[in-house]
Amino acid sequence: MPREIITLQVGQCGNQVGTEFWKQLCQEHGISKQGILEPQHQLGAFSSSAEKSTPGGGSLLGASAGGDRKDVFFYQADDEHYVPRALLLDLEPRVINSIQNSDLRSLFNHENVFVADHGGGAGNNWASGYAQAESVQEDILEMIDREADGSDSLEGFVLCHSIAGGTGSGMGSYLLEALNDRYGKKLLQTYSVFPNQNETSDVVVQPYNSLLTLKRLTLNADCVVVLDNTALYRIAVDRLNIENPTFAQTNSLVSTVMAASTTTLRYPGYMNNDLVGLVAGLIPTPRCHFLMTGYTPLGVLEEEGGMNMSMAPETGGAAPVDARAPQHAATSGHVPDHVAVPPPPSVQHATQALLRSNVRKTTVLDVMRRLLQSKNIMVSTNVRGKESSKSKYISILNIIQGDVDPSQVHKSLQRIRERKLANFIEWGPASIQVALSRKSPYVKTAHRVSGLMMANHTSIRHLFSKTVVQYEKLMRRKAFLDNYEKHAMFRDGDLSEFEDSREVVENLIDEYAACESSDYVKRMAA
Amino acid sequence: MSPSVSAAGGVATGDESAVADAIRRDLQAHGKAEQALKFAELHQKLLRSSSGGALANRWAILHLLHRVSQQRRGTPSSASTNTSSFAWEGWTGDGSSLALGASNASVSLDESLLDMSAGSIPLASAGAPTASGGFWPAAAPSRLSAHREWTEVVQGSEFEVPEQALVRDVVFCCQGIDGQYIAYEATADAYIINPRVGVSRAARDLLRRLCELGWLYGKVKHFVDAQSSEQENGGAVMQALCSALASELREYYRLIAVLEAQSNEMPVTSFDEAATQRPYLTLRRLSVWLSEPTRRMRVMANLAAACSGKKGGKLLAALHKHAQHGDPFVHSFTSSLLAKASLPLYEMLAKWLYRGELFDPHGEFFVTAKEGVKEHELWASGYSVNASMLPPFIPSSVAHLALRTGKGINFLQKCCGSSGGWSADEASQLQRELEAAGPKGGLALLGSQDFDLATRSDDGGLSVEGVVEDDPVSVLGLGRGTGALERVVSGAARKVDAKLIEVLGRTFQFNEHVLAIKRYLLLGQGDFISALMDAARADLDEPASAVSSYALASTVDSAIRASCARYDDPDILGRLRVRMMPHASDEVGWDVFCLEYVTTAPINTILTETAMNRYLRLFNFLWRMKRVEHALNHAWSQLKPSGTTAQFAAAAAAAAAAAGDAEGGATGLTSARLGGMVSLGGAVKRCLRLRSHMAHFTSHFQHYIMFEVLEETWNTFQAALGEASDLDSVIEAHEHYLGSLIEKSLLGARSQSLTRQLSLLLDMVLQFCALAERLHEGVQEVASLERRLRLERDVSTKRGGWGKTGGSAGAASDDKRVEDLARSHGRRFGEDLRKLGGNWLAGLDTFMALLPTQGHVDLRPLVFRLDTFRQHNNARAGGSSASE
Repeated sequence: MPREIITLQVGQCGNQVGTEFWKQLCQEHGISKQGILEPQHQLGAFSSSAEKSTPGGGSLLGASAGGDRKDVFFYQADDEHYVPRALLLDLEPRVINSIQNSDLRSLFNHENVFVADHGGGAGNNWASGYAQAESVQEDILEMIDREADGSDSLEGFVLCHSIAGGTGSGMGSYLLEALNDRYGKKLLQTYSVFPNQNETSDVVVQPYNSLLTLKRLTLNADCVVVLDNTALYRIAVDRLNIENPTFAQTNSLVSTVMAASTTTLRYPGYMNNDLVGLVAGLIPTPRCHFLMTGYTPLGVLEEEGGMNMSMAPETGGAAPVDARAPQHAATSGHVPDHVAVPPPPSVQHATQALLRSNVRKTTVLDVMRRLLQSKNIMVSTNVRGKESSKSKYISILNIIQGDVDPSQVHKSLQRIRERKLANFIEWGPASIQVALSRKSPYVKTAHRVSGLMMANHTSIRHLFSKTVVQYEKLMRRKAFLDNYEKHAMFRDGDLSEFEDSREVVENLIDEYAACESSDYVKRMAA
Repeated sequence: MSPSVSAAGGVATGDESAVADAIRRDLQAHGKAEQALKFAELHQKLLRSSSGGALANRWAILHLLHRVSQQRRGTPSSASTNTSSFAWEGWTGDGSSLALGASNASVSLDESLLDMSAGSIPLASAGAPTASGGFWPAAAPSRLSAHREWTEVVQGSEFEVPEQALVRDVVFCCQGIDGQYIAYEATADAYIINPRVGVSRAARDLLRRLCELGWLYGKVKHFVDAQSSEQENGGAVMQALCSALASELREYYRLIAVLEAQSNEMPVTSFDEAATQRPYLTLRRLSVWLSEPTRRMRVMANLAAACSGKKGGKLLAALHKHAQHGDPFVHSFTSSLLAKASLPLYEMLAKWLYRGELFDPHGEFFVTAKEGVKEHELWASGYSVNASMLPPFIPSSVAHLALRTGKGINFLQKCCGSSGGWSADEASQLQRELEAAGPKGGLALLGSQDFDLATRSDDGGLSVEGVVEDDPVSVLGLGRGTGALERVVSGAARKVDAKLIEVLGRTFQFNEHVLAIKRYLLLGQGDFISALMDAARADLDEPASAVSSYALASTVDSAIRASCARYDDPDILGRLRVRMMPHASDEVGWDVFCLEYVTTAPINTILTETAMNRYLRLFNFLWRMKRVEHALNHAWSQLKPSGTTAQFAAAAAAAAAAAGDAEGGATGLTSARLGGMVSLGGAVKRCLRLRSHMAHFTSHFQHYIMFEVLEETWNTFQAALGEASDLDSVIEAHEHYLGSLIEKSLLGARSQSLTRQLSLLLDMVLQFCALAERLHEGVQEVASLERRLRLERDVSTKRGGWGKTGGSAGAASDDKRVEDLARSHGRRFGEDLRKLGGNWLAGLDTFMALLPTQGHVDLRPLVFRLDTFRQHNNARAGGSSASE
């Protein structure tokens, strides 16, 4: 009864993100790209140093070096290979083919790969994706059933998708409804990538797609981890100093977040051992189940890129000197916030020294403070002034990984509360929860502590508002609707689905807004 | 040769041999052939020794003696009185030529004769006026007075018992034998000089002082003899002391023998020479000779008095007490005795330290073993330091160190099985190592040094300066530091402790066990615990009496298989057992279920039964906490965002908002149903809110438990364990760990009110979860009713177009039914939830108010964590949402 979680990766973005996630997971569990557990002696070099740096780390989680829990996300085939509990679904073969041509081809179960027969994709059309999903539902549900039957006590499903395109949004929406119907008692979590609103997208209808998907995310998902491409892009540019981040790069950020958010499930400890426990604390009121995430230290992540991150070719490997120089800028950019070190001289090795000292500075307090800074948060709400001061945290869960003295946690929480760094809702008890998790002994990192924040913050409503505004712009002109009207749901100009979705999303926005006021409870009780 | 002999007339001087022959014949005739032989021998000696002219009138003397003995034999019944009177007659009869001045010589000769023949010649034959009262003829006072008169005439006031006789008496006294003039008086418990003999006052004083030695000797001798006759009771230390005393006595005998010889060697002088040639051994000389032995004997007698009836450590304590003396002589002498007397102790100690053997038939050692101790209690109560048997020169710390060392060896041998044994090799190796460590090393060396010391003291030259730093005397802690002993003991202790720690740590993997306990009993292995909780849920919901521990045991097994625990050491997993606590009738399985960790020797010395019971309490508490958390999570997943229940609530809230904004709504709910739905939705909302409130509490309490209790104490424990170099400190570290776990988990004796309040709160949470379950069912009921009615309506509409009952009317009545159900559910659950919520908040307030009363534990972290409630409550009290 390992409380298995089945991952569904849908569409181009979903598959890319998912694949990165599985790479990361394999690395953290010492599973090779063929699904074979790495022999222990390979682990030796890493684990010894990791163990040295984390005395008592093993004890913290109560398990010995091999105490990770692989079977939440993997199962073992007859030949001892570890196979991800993952379904790769797409309506066009490009991404999935590339996965199957990559070195990961033998990792996934081939029966779990679904590509639509015609391979034409959804054409960035939600309605097309939804309709196609409906037409192939039997195949997909059968795959899901098979996977679910293969687990002892299925905890739930995780869906990776983007809400802007056609397949991820349309097919994803259909799957959400179908899963909710079929596995109503299971948890349904999504990692939903929201489109970049700063640059003009080649997908003009993305407001339509987003809105329609948002309705399903609101009604049919239990927990939505919002990954805003706007913010991911900004982080990649500002923090990782990549001038033109590719999707692969931003996706690796997503996979980092996904991997980090599941560490407590994979390295069991005293608390937060199941998804329900993790999520239940974050979502006190059912509708407000959209979570923001933040991860730190990302600067170091880039530095370590050559070792374990997919962005190695872009940064560490190709031009190490160039990669470091902008790093310097990034480092000095955020140094004043958390390190009392004067701005670094421009000498190369001095920069490196600073980087190293920066790395050493990753204390719990440091990590937790940085997690509360909006620039580290992977949702861009772009609000300022009055609006942002009104927004509040409904809940925060910090997953701290690495060598942590438990007493530091308490001190950090005290400091944060003293300085009122986090503004919480007033209608209920709320405070930062902390989960400690072990670092994978297989992955070597230079920083001692890293942290992931999962927060339920009312400012996320601005993201939805923006979607609604953009939708209304399009809808006022009734632009690009013909592609939708081809499909059954919108046949004959029936736009009630749009209206309905808008209403659901607006209700959601209202609810979040209501959460900001102290009389939320009274209003609810009316 | 001398004129006096010729003056004796009658018998020719050459007839000496004839007299001697006569004596021999006489003796032989009376069947004393042996004595005759001895006499001849002695006579020969006499001849030889007097060839230098030392003894002039041999014939006369022999003749006299012969006559005396003949006379005695002739009148055997007349006893000594006659004999002595005859002697006087004999003397007088022999003529005045036998001057009294010669009596000195004759007496001394007689004495020596008597001495040499070991008293075979009766004392009475001395013929001299003896001082012993028994010899004075009470029946012949006239004779006595005559004698006195005579002596006064002859010697005037100058008459005294000759000094030589007194010297001889003193020498006798010093051997515990009554002398002629000085005898032991039992009533006075002293040697008394016969008051009637003529001894000058000064001499009397001197004699009294000299005779003290005799008295002291008597005491010591008595002590030694008494002990040797009852060796069984005295014990080894006593025997050692007695043997030390006896050897002192032997030395003393030697001295006495020398003195005696000297007193005899006094040359017999002529009458003329008597004035000029003083006897060699005078009383004064004797007092010089005896002063040192007297001091020594005095100390010994003191010790004998102090030590009698004591044994072992007590005896050594008494010795030690006497050794604390300002007089350097007493100090060093007693110390040397102490050193010898403590030899058996060191032997015992060495056996104990190196081999763990307790060889102590007389119960003298300061370590005592308890009989019939079970393996797991061996360490705790198997051996103890008997403080009364602990000599004061061994510091208590050293004694406890020694106790631990020997105990450790015993523990290794008895409890640790074959892998942990303490072999003879190891013992001798340890001994070798310690002895090789230098002169201050092994105990055996201590012993040999003791003998050296004893030899030195025999020479009488034991000086304080001789006691150097490394001497055993100082080893014994006589004011010069307890260096060597402590070094030896701590050396052995280190070795044994190290071995013990290694055996426990490496072979028996103590830390693995504690870790396993932390993981399984303190719920550290989260996946196992949740798997167990899932699997056991159904069983544990049953009444306690109906729960089968066998079934649960298999549940535990399956939970192990389902979690990472399956990779654990099978030995550790095999120790996990299900235990059902004693239960009351109304309890369910949850209340009585416990996981137990079975410990075996030698680990159960640390993880004792008491400790394991405390772990059980912790488990019970943590398990309950976990169960509550689990129940709350379960409630959440029933009311989860995508679930129908939550959808209802959301829709209801939206409808309410819409109804507030404007008439009617686009919610899809008809206005007729609105009231009921709002009521039910409100209940769901309230339920969710209460749930989140409760979950907040439990999760923060658990955070506190995890960070501030489990992990922090664990880290402290691990640090202490890393530093612990012996089993005692390991045990102490573990006790401290467990104790602070209990205290901080609010399970301590002083936290009972808190425990009770917390338990009430947890009960409320469970009540709530049951209520949430019912609410969920209620909502499902409403939803399914609505679905069914709609389905029926659809079917009937399809079938009959407008249906028999009439569409709108039917729909209205259906709506009515749904609404009624929703309303009644909503009202009922709303009421229940409100009540429960009120109780919960009140209970929480009570709990929070109780927290500051717990002064003995640092609960600030908990207070801090729960502070959000206070803030929230303040906001609630002051804010606009007071309606709740």
